[in-house]
Amino acid sequence: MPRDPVLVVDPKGLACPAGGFHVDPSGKVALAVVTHAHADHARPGAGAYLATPGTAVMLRQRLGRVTVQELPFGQRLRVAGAEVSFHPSGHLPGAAQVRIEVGGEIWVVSGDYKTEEDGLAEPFEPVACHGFVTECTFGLPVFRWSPQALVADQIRGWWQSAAAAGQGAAIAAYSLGKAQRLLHLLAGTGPGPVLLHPAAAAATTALASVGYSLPAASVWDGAALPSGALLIAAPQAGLPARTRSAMASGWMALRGTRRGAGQGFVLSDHADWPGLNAAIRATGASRVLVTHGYEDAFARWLCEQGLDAAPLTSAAGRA
Amino acid sequence: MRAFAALIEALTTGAPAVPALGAYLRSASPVEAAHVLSWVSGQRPRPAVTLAALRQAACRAEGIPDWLFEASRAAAGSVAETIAHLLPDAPTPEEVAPQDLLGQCRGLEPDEILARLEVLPVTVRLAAIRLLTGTLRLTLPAPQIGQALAEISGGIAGAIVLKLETWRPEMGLAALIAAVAPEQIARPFATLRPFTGPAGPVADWAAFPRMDQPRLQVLRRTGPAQVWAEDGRLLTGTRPDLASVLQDLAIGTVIEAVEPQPGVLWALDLLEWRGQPVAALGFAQRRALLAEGCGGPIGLAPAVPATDWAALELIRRREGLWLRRQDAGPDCPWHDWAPHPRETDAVLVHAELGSGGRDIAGLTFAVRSGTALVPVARTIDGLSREDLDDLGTWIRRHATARFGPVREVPPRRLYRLGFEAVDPAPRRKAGLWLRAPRILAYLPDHSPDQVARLDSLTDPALDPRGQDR
Repeated sequence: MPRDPVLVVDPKGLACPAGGFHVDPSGKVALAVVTHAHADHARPGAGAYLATPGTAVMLRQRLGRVTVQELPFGQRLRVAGAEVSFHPSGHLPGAAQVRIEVGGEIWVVSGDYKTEEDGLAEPFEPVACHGFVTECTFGLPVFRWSPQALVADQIRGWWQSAAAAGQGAAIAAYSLGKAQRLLHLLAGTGPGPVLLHPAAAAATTALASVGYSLPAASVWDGAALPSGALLIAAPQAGLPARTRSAMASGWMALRGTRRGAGQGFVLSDHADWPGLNAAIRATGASRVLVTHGYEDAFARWLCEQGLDAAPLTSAAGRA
Repeated sequence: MRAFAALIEALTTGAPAVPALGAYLRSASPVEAAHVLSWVSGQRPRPAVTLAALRQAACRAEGIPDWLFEASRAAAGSVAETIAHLLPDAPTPEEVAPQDLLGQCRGLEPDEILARLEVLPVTVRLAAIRLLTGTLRLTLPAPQIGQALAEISGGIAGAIVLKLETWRPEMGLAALIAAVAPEQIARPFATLRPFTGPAGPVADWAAFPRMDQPRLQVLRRTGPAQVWAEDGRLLTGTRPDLASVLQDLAIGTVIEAVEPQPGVLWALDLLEWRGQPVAALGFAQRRALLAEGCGGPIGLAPAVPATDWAALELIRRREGLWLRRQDAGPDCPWHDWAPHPRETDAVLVHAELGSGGRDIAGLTFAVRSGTALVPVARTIDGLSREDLDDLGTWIRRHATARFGPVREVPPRRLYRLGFEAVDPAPRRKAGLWLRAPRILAYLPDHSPDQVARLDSLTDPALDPRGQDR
């Protein structure tokens, strides 16, 4: 008798029928297992949420009064007919991959992840599995990151030259994840103080409250930046005059993806091409479903490497 | 390579050329600067490898199938950038002068060239690849190069000219630059602006045939005679055929001229004459002086007799006219009365999609030649922002093929184009290219079969729409 699939794709997203839950769903469900608190993964409306403590504190901040059960990394939890555990993804502090075991078959949903250790988020942990659902945001061989120490040097150089010209510097970054990484990398190492946009400050405070070690930084009050200061700003936020601005993102690496943005630094919280390939190999999975990126190209590449791979959306109904 | 790569990056992203070139010249060695100046002045270096061969070598080296390279090209922006980003990071990046890299790579196999590229930092690889494959399409006008050299050597801008035509980088920078004494420098050319329409009595104006060629200034003050081009180039050394003309020029003469045919000069205006206050004379009076022989060996440009505006209008519709007020001073403008645009009906065949804010970067139009459609013009001039947005949506929905940012579209949309002239273009499929094309209208009610025939462009008599010219 054919086994029921561990994971299926239904209109609300990726579901585990045996466990009665969804992973990072887009619709209203009874139980949402959430990898991390970014808005495209953690959405309001679920009856209950399951997340790591680091993710849970951000869910409460962003989604208001929600029912969240906390499950630390590595602990296994029985959820109906499935066994569930969280494992670090390296994407941001508290971000997790979800390991799901049903009847001896193991699937891991990666969520968003990166393989470089950034000294703040729990480092990516490859988990042995039969099937791996992986993101492929930067799933093309032209995406190769430099070590973050080199990028930090570049940012410092730009920050110094802004200070020397008597200007403030503002670097646009997601308020959850990238902002804390920049704060951790740059605080106290430049010509002036680091200021945080209110949203970034709120996320930083929340993460610090559950034990992450983050430097103190003032909240930006919207006034002109003092010379030598570095503002970690929300993307598309308005900036005061006489401020040099830059963007920190993996998309800054290539002309075709930069989309006319100005100064950029190539700092990403997603795995690059070597990272994706190494991570997939390390899981030992023979079945790979790819999502969240260059799905067609990456799936075809994995097939040509001998894996049973496909875009997740094309596998609707069967995993 | 770093300074060279920074210069290439600045020039290709549209930064002001003179400061970028000045910054480069300050940091580069004279030997390297000599080579780089020869490249940016149009002396393209002989390539060491073709881009296609380098692409194949990169795919082999990284174990990437060509379809995946192609998928990466859209993200990277170009083949050269894809190769630059495909190669792994250099753990200990090396520094090499661009002319040395080029010399080393000549005669090497593509795989060996790739190995040379791998030790370069990613930021300079793109410039290196462009140099090695001969795709460094970057030419700065000589006046800008001269200006940058002048600024860094403390000289007066305009007093440095480049003897580019006979110079090779092995001769060194000193042989490139020729200092010109201040009294041999041309006056600023009077502006040429579009004519706004008949104004005042026609007798107030002098009319001339419209010139395709740029204007020249022929001068002889105290030193040797010189011929300057409108774009600031000094032509004296490259036009020995004019040497006899210059010798016979009286001392103290400055003439604005034009060369309608090779070797033939027409004097348009007398700008200086033996210290006489020419500025006080009107244009008609200065022409009278030229008619008396003050131009020496240079004959007077023939005027178009003007009896009334209607007669002038007929001439300008066919050929165009240059006009000047009879009382104009030497610095007053010339007026360009462009000929009535010719028109043709062409179908849209390709569209280049833009990046950043622009939806469409270029539209290619074609006419019929036999059973095929051949491109004859590329423009977006004449479409409003809304039209471009709507067209962009249509293009994205109906594209039949993609070549990088370019989309092939079904040849269903007919447009009326205006253009100034037909230029011969032997390398184009059609053998010609339209000059100054402009989109006049979209013709949704016309069938695409009503596209013009190619021979109607070369022979207006064949234009079935029988335009009144």
